Amino acid sequence: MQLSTFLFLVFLTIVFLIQQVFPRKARWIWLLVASYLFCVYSDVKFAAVLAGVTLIAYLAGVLIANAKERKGKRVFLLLGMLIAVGTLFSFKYLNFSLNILEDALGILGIAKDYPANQWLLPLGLSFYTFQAISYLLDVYNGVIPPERNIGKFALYLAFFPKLISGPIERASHLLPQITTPNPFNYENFVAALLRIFWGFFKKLVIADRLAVLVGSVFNAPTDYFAPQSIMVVLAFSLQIYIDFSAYCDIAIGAASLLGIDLVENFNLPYLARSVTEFWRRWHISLSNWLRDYIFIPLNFATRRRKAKIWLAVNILIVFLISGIWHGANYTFIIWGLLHGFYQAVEAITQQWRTRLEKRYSIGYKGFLFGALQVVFTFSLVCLAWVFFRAENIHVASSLLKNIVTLRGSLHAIAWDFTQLGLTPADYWILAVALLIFGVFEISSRKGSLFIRSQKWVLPIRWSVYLLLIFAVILFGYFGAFKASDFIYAGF
Amino acid sequence: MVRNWLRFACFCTIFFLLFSWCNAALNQRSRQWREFYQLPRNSIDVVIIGNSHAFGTFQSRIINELIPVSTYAIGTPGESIFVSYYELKELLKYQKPHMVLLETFAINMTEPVDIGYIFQFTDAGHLNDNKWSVLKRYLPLDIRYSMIPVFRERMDWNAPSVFFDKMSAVVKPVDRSIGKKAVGWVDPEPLSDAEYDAVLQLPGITENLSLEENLEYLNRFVDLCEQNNIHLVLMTTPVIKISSQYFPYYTPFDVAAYAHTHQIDWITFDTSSFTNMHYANLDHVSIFGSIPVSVDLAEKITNILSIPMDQNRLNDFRQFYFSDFTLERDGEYYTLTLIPETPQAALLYKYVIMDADYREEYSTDWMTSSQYSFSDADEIVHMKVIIKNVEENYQFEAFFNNY
Repeated sequence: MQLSTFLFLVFLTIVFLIQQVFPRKARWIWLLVASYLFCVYSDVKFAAVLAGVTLIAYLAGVLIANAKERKGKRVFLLLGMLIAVGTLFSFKYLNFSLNILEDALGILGIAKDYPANQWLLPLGLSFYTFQAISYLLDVYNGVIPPERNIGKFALYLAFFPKLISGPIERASHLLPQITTPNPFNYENFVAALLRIFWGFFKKLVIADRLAVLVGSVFNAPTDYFAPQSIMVVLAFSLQIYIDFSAYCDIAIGAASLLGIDLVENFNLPYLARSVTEFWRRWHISLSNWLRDYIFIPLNFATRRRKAKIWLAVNILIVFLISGIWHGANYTFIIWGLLHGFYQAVEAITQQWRTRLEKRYSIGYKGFLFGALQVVFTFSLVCLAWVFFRAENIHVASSLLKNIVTLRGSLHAIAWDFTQLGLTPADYWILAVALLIFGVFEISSRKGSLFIRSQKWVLPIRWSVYLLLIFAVILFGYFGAFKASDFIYAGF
Repeated sequence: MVRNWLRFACFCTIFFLLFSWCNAALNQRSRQWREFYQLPRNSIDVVIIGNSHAFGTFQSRIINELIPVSTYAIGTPGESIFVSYYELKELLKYQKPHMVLLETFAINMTEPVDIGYIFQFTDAGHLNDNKWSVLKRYLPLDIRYSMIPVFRERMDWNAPSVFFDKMSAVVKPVDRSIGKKAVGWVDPEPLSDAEYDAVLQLPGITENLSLEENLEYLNRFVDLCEQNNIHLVLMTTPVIKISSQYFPYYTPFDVAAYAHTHQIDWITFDTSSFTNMHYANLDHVSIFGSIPVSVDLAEKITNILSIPMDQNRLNDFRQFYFSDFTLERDGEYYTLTLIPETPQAALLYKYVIMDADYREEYSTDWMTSSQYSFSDADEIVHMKVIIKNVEENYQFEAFFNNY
């Protein structure tokens, strides 16, 4: 069940209403049932995998805490992590690994064809695996005590608003709320609903429309030209941000309705002035996880090595892992390594650049310089997005070739954007919706508009709310049927 | 707190009203079904039911003017007998027809041509058990929300006037004088010779699908007619050819054997004189074919029900029988020739020349000649011909083009 569907709204409403029947401290029981129902709806096997990982992580946590010696704790930690990562590897990376092995053997002249694993990737496996690992490490390091109530721990991993695509919650943040969720507050209730509908607006009106544009060129890049390719790369950079942040809005809004606050995952990432800053603003829960559980330990392990190159190596390792985590494909590895490379260069050249800016009095705090940094950072990120979106390296390189060679730029057809799957009306809708989105993003810097709007004059705020909801209903890119499908509309 | 919830309730009420308005604007009920619910109760004598072979072939008006019955054609495009059955059940809540003519193509369709067409029935009137049965059958659970028009389709904002017209139509008063004048909708453009030949080359039906569900609902249909004392007649309308290319869900059904076994009347039509002019596509008659077929049906109904026919009107309609047409081109000059079956038919013609976008360039006055020549430099030429009799008690339009 996708979060941006009518069915999810119905499900959430039912869960919310039934939750009100339970006393506050017992609501976690109903939320656990609802979360597993949510998972079972997709596939009962997914729920079984979730339950399996939950049980292993729970037991490992308890055993780690109960072990008297550090060595014992370490054994249970490694066992728990190995089983969790092993589960993730089996479902997500086994086929890819076998393909790599086949390719490597092929280079050596050995032809080998391993049978592919036909298992479907369980819902949210990548996310709750990382949550389980962070929990075990926190228990091992004494940051938190183990959760002895298996039901509450199960809900920590399975909580349905964040199950599919995060945010990746820390046990120290989520477990206390599971025990004592926030009391009902009308203002937060309205803000949560607004946030959910804002997420629907972003996803259905903007992101899904952009997806049509992006798909048409990425599916056949050699059929298109430089201007179209550039536009589509820009469109994808918007699509992925708006799509993912929309999902997070719906997840955070839904969780808030149920009395639980989830962490924010985005903070105007495209206003970052460096790629390093970009990763402090993009998918914040993941980048914090990578920083706390991989980067910092790596840095600690290499602390005696003074050469900056080790910092760069650590950064590359972190982003290699990030790339692999995102998907089992060479393109994701390249994407991750690109970001790692960007940040490694930034880290190594940081002092040199600062000296340069001071020496030549470059207005590094000035607006123009900042704007240039933002544009430059955005360009680097867009370049990496090409690999993230492309199905394979060949597609990515074809698209980049279009751009680099300015393919067909002198021909009128290269500037024809009406052949990319969207109608003129769609472009207008996109333009207006993106304008609204931009205004909202900028306004949000002063604080949550979902709260602030409730202080507006009633006719204005109700008009805005109704416009938002009807914009989703009327302009949303959804529905099983299209108006143009009906040949006999005149009947 | 109470004040907050009262405000919330008010907001929800306003939302619900606006939502209902949008729902009505995005409603896809067909004109036949919309007008059906506006008819006076128990005012229909003869119902023609089925898919477009039913309502896209016969003109109720012709039948109603020839014989003293009130006929109504109803159905949804490409429907199967499953949908026809529930349509009949729905119809019988409001009407008590003496005769039901079931067009047999619906029996051959194991699935509707396009699931979306069921909304032309289910969107009309109120949601009830009959509509729900059809929705449940054809909408999987994950798209069951499509039963609500606003959640169903992506609005075509390239033609926003359609939406706004429908929005304003919701608040207009209902015209209940529609009555018995519903004429169905028949394709006004006949096939050219080349198109007709192309149809003949299409592949036939290659696979026999299971008719189990269809037979079950056909039997239920027959039983329902019996229970309501309705004279059921099976009817097979003329087609050129049924091709698996267009009808993957078509499977042959022996209507003759079924009719014989169940002692049900079965009507077919003599199309030995039909040419490409009488067809609009491979499985529908054109306006030129619709007139003789409607007259033929009226004659058959009179034989079954033993009722008189208006011979004067019969002669009027027979004037509108045509045997063929030609559209010849000599450089920039075109000559359209229509060949009436009765050379002395007292008909008047008006020719309208249109551009490639169907915008009218010019039209002639009414004339008695069934031939018209004109020059046009455009590569694509469209013509509309309006044909009426001198008594001006019937007219129709037909379209021709040069491709």
